[in-house]
Amino acid sequence: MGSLLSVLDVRRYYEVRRSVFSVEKEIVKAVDGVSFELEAGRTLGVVGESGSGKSTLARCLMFLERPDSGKITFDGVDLLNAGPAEIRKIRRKLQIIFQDPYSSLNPRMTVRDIIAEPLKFHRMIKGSESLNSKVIEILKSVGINDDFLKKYPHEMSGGQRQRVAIGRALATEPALVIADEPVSSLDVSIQAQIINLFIDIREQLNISMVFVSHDLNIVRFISDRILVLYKGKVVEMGERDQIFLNPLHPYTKMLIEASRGEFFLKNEKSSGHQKTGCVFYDKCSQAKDMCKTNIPDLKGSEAHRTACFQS
Amino acid sequence: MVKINDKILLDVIDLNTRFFTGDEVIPAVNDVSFTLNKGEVFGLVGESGSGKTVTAHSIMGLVHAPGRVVSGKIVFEGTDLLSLSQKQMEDVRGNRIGMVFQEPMTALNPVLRIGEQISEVIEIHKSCSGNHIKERTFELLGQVGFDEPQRRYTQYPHQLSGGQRQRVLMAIAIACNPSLIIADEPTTALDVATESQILGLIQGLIDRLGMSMLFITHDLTIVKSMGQSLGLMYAGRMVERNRVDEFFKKPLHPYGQGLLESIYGFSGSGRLKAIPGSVPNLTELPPGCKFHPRCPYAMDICKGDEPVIKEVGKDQWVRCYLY
Repeated sequence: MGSLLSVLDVRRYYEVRRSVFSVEKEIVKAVDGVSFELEAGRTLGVVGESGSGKSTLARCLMFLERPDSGKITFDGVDLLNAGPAEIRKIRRKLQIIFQDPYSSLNPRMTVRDIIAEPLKFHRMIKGSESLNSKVIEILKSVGINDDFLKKYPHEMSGGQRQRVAIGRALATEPALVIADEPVSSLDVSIQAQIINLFIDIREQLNISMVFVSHDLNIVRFISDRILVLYKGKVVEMGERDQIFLNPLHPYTKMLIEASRGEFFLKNEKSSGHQKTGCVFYDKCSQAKDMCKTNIPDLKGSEAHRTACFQS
Repeated sequence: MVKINDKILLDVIDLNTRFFTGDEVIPAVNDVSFTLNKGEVFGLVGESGSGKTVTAHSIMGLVHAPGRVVSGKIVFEGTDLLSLSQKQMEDVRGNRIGMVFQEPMTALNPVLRIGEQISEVIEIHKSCSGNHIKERTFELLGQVGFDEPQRRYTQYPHQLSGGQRQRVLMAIAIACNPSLIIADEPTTALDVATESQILGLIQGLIDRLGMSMLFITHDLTIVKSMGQSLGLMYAGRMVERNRVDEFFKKPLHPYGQGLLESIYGFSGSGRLKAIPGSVPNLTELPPGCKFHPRCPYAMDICKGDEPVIKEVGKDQWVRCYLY
């Protein structure tokens, strides 16, 4: 089976000023040479903490942000060189779900209108099919009954709102859904409900997903493959069980320990801004001298790669 | 008869805090009781709106209008804090009880140097010379893991990272050698690697300085690694108090069981075991046990009177009719 989504050496850098009065510019490498392939029907979990570049990566995949270099191919189309008509056609098949359903849903639209809008825009209603019954069907598939049709987002709980946001993304029958921290703003007891909904959807509709989260526990339940990002670079990537049972990178190990509630004070080097060498050098407990000056390549097999000199 | 137990540092008894907004009364904290022993870390856990932060604010005397502590006792080192005047309370806060807040950027003053902010606390509570205060500030900066205290002293909050700011807050909290530290989600705004470091730092400090801590968090995994006992809150109530090791073996309350399963447990079908329904609004609470609409074991009795919290084992309390 070929890849549905292919990402090759994507980079996105930002120029920021050192301080308000400074003319000196600093380059922030939000996404720094990320590559991966995603096959149809599979789910890739992207894990990283704030500042790792995971949201920038998600935004690049969605044309919300243009990479400075690299290549993104979706369903055989080169996204960065596609024309407007082609992009419009692709948009239907590529949907995103954001973290915060409070701000991603229009507060002045009813639930019915929120779901109906993409259906109308992409002309998804054929012949005799009625818009209303299609909307009801979609809502039902995400666990929202038709009492909610005339409600506004503020009249619903966070979990219900996120269900509506998921319904809106699914309305256009996408081939790939990108979910950027879709459960982080929800209470713990609701998170599991929404994750189960994602698992149901993936099974029933055979959709591919890129599932972005800072929480390894959440990614674990839903992903086939996992990609660990740190400061814009892929530090480890592979099949889910490989990553969890045999983590190779010290950063991945630290994430797994933290998700089990094992926190330990690691010896810390306060070197400030690390300019050369491994991105994790500052916080790594296994760092050697070579890690300070050399950048490790991502090495290994398709099933499991890591960028670390010590593994 | 007054039972004197010199192991107990903080004893919260039947605390009730309400917010009076317009014509509504919001029952934020209801009959919450717990004890914190000397040298212990007590984790107060709950989802948003469960009343954990209001409980902490009640202890520190930081509940402001339209909110009010309406009844209860908060006995700290033998004194009921609720009987103290504003003035007397100011002497306790920051001196005998240190506090660490969630958002280190808003808790620090952006126009004051780090050193001045730490010195300020010592200056207010202790009578000692300027030189002495400065030395103590350097010492504190070193204790929270800064390797160049003199340079840090003159920096401003915006020059520090989130983790470093949280370290400064820790320095302020421990400045006067308090016997209790109240930390309200101190690592929630931080990334995982930094969180790990800060939690390690906190653990080291309370061990070394012999302080006790009330640790407020929504994250059960943190309590697992830090605390000796925990209190689980739901809809403004304490539904379970337990020893941490016992809780993680098997929680007593069905809500605690549901929470653990929804984080760690897979059911056979490859789905997470989720708790159905959603957290109730505090102004529209169900009758009886507040958790019964979401509880897999709900019985008729659960819809009647609300269960009281009762002791079912050593240091184990639960508010549930199953026991």
